[in-house]
Amino acid sequence: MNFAFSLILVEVTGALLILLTFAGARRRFSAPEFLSLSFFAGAALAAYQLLSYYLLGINFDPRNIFFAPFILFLLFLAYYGLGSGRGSLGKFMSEAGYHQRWSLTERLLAAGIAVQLLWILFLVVPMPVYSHDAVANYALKAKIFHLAGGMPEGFFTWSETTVAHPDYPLLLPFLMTWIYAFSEFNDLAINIIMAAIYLAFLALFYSQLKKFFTRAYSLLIVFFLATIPQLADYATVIHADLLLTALVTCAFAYFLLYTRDLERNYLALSAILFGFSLWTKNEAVVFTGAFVMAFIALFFRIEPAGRKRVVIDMIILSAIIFIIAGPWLAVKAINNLTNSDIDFSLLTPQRLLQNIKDIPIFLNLFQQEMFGPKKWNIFWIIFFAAAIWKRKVLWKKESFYITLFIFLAAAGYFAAYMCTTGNNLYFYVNTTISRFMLHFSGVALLLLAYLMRDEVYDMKSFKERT
Amino acid sequence: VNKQKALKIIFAVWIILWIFFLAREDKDGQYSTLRYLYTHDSEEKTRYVMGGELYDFLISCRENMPAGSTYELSGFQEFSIDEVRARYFLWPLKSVSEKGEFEINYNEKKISLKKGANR
Repeated sequence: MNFAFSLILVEVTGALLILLTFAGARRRFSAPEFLSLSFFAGAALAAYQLLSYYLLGINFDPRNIFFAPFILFLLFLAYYGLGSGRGSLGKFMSEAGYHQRWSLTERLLAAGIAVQLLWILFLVVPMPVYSHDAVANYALKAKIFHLAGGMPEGFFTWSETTVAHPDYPLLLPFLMTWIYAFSEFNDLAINIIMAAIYLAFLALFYSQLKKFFTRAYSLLIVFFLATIPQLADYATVIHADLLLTALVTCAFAYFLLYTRDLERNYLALSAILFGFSLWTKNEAVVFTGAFVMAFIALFFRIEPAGRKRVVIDMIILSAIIFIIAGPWLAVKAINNLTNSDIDFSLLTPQRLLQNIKDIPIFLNLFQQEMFGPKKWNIFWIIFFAAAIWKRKVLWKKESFYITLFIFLAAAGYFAAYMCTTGNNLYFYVNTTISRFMLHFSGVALLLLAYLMRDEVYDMKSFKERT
Repeated sequence: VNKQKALKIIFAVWIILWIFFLAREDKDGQYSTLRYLYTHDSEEKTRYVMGGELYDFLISCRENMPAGSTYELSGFQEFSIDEVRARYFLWPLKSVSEKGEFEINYNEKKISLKKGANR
């Protein structure tokens, strides 16, 4: 019961944050978009708050933690109850307009998504925290913070013998700590947050797809996403990879919406989610870098008259990412936190040459992932087949930005593999490639959706267009 | 028409593989595990997931170390699932690489106070 209260409090806190952040903006949210964004905002705020408490020496006590939602609630009352936002709350949400009845195809797709979600819940409900990265890293950190009532002194200097990767971003452990603060330590129930992240991801992605495609086609795409075995598996274990995938995918989808008519609210949402991703996993640096490059490409592709606006937006975007990610990046810099797997001081020409020689090992493991149905069904086969078939449109219109983003981020990951120093390349690729491919799955699916749209729309069940 | 047929085949293959991998009894014994977990209390669940041998040994370790102790682990394959589960389970007893107050040897199922430790 307390756990449910904690989860609802994350949602409510995030909702208050979204309502206040976008107060006055002429932006309407659909219910799934608002609810899912609220969850991600609540999770990120929990991390932001606990890191601030660590810096200020404040105990992670429930009363102290409740301070943030309470202040947000007061601000909400002040603005929407007494201030200039009075009476404007209703305008925040999309009006319930004319709703077309769901076709049989749509109902079947929705049922398929529901079955997958229920199956995940069925798996996580009785399961204690058990997976390797959970007990070595994320769940252990949450247990440490909760039982110590804060971050113990010298935490960032602890060795791998005590806790894995003290340098990793802390959004997930902080979210768990925040929940434990209100529900007591319970590493049986905590797995459910992964199912919540999975649901929020699907809901937000669906609401974004509906801005691009028909409802039936959006449901088809979300069905494919929901039923990728690897994605569903990561919704049952406490790992940060699903959260990173969700944030990067949805952040980029907002950027894609921004490229249509340069609406700043979409850009702000994109920057906010990329900022959150930097709190989630170190790999987010690669995706954020690729995003900035895609934004620069936008500058060169639009009409010269619009370029001044894009430059201003670039400054806004950088400021948002800096404000959100800055505190964590500053803590990393102050504590001199470095990645134990990529140490540039150890990257000798010999080591680099050895990594290059081992590229066939990488390619072999990559093809095993690509063709193996256990983790990916036939997702990557469809993706690469469609990319080859539609190669002429890969670099056109909106597809251009997605292709560029995937290409740059993949190049970044490949470069990181080539710079690994701690262990041999086989070890790194073998232990990481499936989760790294997960990070790309949402954006790859977005590209696939663009590439196959016309063919699927020609089918009877998907004919209606928005 | 051929494109539509191809899309329908792709979709059918996807559905078949999805259901197969969703429902099959995998190598970890999905259904027997779930049946056990749904019918036992939280302590038994943890014991089942960790393995009885490891769980019982860690319980005895926890009972033999005073609060705030540090320990060194041995007898595990480095960073193996059993080793990281032991660290997680024993927290707030802290695993250290050197100068630990206790030594836990999983191979010998032995916990001992290290020489020179003040306990």
